[in-house]
Parts: sequence; structure tokens; C-alpha cells
Amino acid sequence: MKRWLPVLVIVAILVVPGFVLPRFSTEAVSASVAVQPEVLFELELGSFTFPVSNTLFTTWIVMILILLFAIFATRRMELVPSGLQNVMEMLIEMWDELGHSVAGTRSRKFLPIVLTIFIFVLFSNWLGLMPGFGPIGIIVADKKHPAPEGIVTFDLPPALEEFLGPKASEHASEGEHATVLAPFFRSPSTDINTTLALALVSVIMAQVFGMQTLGVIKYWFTRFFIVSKFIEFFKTLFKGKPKFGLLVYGFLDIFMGILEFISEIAKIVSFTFRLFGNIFAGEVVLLIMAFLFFALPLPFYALEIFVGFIQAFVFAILTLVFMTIATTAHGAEEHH
Amino acid sequence: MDVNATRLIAAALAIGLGTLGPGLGLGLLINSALNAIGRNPEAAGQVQINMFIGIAFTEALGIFSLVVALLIGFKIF
Repeated sequence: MKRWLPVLVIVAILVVPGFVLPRFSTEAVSASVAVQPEVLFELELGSFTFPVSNTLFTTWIVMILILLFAIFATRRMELVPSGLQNVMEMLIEMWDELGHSVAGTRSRKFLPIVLTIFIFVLFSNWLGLMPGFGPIGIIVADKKHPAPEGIVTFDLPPALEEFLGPKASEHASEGEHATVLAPFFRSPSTDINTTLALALVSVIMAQVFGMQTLGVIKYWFTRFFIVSKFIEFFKTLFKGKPKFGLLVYGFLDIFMGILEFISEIAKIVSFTFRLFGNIFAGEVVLLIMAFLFFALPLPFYALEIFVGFIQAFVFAILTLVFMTIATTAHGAEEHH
Repeated sequence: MDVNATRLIAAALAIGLGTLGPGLGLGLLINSALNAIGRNPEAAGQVQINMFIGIAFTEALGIFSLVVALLIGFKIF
């Protein structure tokens, strides 16, 4: 019983306000699904203002949580680990083994970035599932902050409308006076800016590692501007016996280089939208299931915990694989 | 049929049909990767790496359809 007491208290704190608070809310809001994160407040930094959205705010919380996790896991380190230190060691050992099987001896160089991405994405995915993310927030009036483009509001189900009072339908029907709930907390993964930043870090660091390992010139000229076949062709031309087959291969290589460029862009897009799409879609599914039947979100909640882990894992392992590919010399092509 | 209804149907069709192909592709890809690992467990590491690369490229197609569905559904263009 003693062990379960804190859990019960936490559950009570999370559940009881749900029954009490709606009685106090004077204004009803229509549930909304917004791609764009809501701006909570603006920081004045000298001459320019810096809008702080709820996803940015939650990113800071994620950073603090990771910092606390790191501090508490390494505060009293022992030879036989227990508790948080055990978790941390398990995590690092798992990735060290995985990195060694994927990247071999280069894994120690990549792992700091890969593990950082993994832990950050995992924390932000799971934090977004915490109770209180989404329903608690401020009601943003349309007059002060015009609702950004790309907000879809849908009418509340009749049962909920009765519960909230007649104002809900009024607000929904008026259109220009529609109110929007801006949650205080929102998972960073449901913001395209966060996932795009992570994707850019991942793709650009792969390029940087490639240039470090192979050398800048060799990296660019074996990957994007593949001119070795042209050089060979001109060598044969100056000798007086031009091999025109090499010219065909040369043009093929140029085309391959262009494809390589496009695939780098596609990598950024797919990194960005894979994480964003999965987590955002998961939260929308949870919201809609909650409106259908009160216990229906439970299985989907379990699924979202799993999806949150898998997406963090996929993001990190793809980063690791792309870094490995970028640092591997295209040696085999020069010998045939 | 008004523009709004057309837009919603278009968005639903974009994601619905757009995930069919990648879904089939992912199934085939992981099927053959697991077969390969089952036949030769020692090569699991190398197979997994190539599987993840393949997954990345296959899933990218599904993600493109998601992007298109979002663009249509949220009236971005």
C-alpha cells in the first residue's frame, strides 16, 4: 500500500481537476487540431521580439528533464549500478553494440549525436503523452490573436456540448469570433520546426563526417560531381585513342550525382515528416477516440507509447546509417 | 459538390491510396529481410542496415503522400 500511495496521489491530482475545472470555465472552446503551434508569449530581446510557442516551451522542459536525468544517473556512480544509473548504462550499452555492428570502428565518433537525437526525441514523444498536455491552456480570442491559417475546427459532439453549455455551439457557428484553446504544453515532435531542425542536424552532420573522413575534395567528387570517367576519357583522347564508352559512363555518373543530390533533399523531407506525421497523427487519433467513448483511447495510448519509442529509434538508427554511408568511400566503383 | 467537400475527399484519397504502395513495399521488404536473417543469423547486422535504408526510401513515398494530404487538407495551397 505504501508503495502505491504516491501513484494514487498523482492519479488523483491528474483526474480530479478534470471533473472540477470544466465547471469553472466561463467560456467554451471548440476542440481544434492545429498544425501550427500556438504562440504563448513573446520575449522582448532588444530590438526584435521572439515568439515563444507552446512547443518551444515544452522543448525547454524536455531539456531540463534530460539534464536532470543525466545528473541523477551519474551523481553517485557505483561499480554495480542500480536505479537510474542502470537505465543509463543499459541505454548506452545497447547503442554501443548497435553502433559497432552498423558503423564498426567509426561508431564512437557518431554515437554522441545519434544518442542525443534518440534521447531527445524519445523524451519529447513520451512527454507529449503525459496527461495535461493539450487540455490545459489559455483560451485565445480571435480578436486579439487572429487564428492562424490552417486551423480546422469541428463541432463538438452533442453530449459534450450539453455538458459545456450552449456557448460552445455559438462560438463554433459565429466563425470570426471562434475561440481557440492554446495549450501550455505540446509535444515538440508535433511541431514541424523541431523535426526539421533535427533532420537538418542529422543530414548536415552526415556530410560533415563524410568530408572529415574522406577529405573535402574526394567526398564531393566521388559522391556528387563524379568526374573520374570524364578525366579518364580525356586522358585517352590526348593519347590519340579515345574510348567513347567512357564518355557514356561519365554522363551516367553525372546523372547519378544529381540523383544523390535529390536524395539528400528527400532525406530531409522524409526525416521531418516521418517524425512529425507519426506523433501528430497519434495525438489527433487520441483526441478523436476520446470523443467517441471514454475508455477507447486506452489501447491507442499504449500504441502511441510504442510508436513514440519506435520513431525515436528509427530517427537515430537512420542517422547512424546515413553517417556510415557518407563516410564509406566509393572504392568498388573505381576498380571494375 | 462544393469545394470544401472535394478538398476533404482529395485529402483522404491522397493519404489512403498513397499509403497502399509503401505498405505493400514495407511488408515485402521486412519479410525478405527477416527470411534472410532466419537463414543466416550471423549476417543480421548487415541485413538490418540495408533493411533500414530500404525502409527509409520506401517509407519516404508514404510520407510524401502524407505531406500532400496535409497540404490539401489544411488549405496551404
